[in-house]
Amino acid sequence: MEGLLQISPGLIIWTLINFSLYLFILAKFGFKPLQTALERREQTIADALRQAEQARAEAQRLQAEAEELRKKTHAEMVELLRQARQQAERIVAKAAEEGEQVKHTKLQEAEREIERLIAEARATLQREAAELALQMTQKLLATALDGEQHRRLIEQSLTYLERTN
Amino acid sequence: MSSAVSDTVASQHRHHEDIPPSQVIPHLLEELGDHHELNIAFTTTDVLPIILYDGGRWHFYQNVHAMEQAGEYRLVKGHVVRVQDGKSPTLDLSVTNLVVFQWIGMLIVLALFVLSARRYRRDPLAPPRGIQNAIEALVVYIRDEVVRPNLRSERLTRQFMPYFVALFFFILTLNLIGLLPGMHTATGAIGTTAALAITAFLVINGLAIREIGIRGWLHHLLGGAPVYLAPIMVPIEILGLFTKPFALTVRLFANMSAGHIILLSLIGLIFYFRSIFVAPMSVGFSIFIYLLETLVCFLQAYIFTILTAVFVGLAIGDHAHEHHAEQSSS
Repeated sequence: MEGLLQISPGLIIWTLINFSLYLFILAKFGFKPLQTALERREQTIADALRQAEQARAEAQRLQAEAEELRKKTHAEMVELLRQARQQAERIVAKAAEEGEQVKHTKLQEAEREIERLIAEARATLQREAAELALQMTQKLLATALDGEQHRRLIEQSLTYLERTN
Repeated sequence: MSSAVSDTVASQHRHHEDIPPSQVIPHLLEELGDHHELNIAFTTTDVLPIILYDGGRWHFYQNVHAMEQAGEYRLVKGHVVRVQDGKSPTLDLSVTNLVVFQWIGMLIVLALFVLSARRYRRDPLAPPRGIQNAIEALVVYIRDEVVRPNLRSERLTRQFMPYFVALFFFILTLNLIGLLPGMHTATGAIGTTAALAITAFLVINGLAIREIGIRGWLHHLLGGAPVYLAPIMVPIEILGLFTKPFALTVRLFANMSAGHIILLSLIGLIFYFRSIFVAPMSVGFSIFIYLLETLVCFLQAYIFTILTAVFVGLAIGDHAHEHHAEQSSS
């Protein structure tokens, strides 16, 4: 037990010498590069993290911007479509109306033309009938009646005819 | 020289054979201590120089054999004594077995650190590999879990990291070397642990005086009690200054020796009962204790380091904070 429990000053002094020497060499040649590298790496990682955070925020901002832009574009598109449809409907309606009007005008014109033609025909027919009757009567009576009297007579009979017609 | 060595080895062997059975265990316990012969890998060689300071002058001898040849001193029970009166010299500063084991430990740690330092120099940003990774993990653990929380200052942590790292790896390596068959545990000797505790004492009080000033350090001797309690507090606190390193000394030494002694006792049981049937139990328990000792190697290195850090933190107290705050605010 004596050997185990002895406190030898020699060993204490040697340990102090050894440990000091070891500490000096370790601190200077072994630990310093490690510490420098560790600090550099930690700095780099911290920087990278910060940059990643910034990049993430930037990406988020851009994404939000894009989303907003997309929404705006979509709304614009919808609005444009709506306007286009409205315009188309208006044009179609206008065209239909115009067509209707043209048709109507044409019809009226045609009607007027027909009436005019009828009236014309009728007038011609009256005149020719009167002429014919006059010639016939002249031939039959061979009498020289006053032209003026004849005409009145004939017109009276024509009016009568017309009325019966 | 070689004949001298073989001569001593032969005498050592004779020495071993001469031991009576009742003295085997005491002798083996003796073997756990320090020696003037190099005791490595089951061989004993007489190559270590003897350095003595006696009678106001230095004596140097090449080895034990040379010393005994010279006739002034001789080795009795492993101790150098004067032939004249059988008393020890004033100071025996010989390179002993455990000093050599400390060198081995130092060289291993330095080699590992310097090798990984090369990698760090080549590319500081590269991910650590292999042994470099293991060292880095331990260093980062010591910094983040041991030193920084106790020193509570980035400046002090940076400044004192080398000491704590050196302390941890020194103790750990010496502990682990002691587990190898045929090797000795340098940390299983009070001399080694006492020296380490002395460095801890110097760091604790030196740092405290530097950080809080000699007045702050003296004020701490009051232990926070009112001034009229000084007659009681100051002696207690002064005692406390020395019990801390003393506890460190004994804790590490006892832990590293205890495992060895238990192993010795377990194996000794076989011889005590003179029965081979005790062997399986002895071996089984020995393996268990051996594994436990592996754990203890890491644990005690850690405990020594963290306790030193805790004591430093206590010695600085909260003053470091205030001091730091004043500095940063001004």
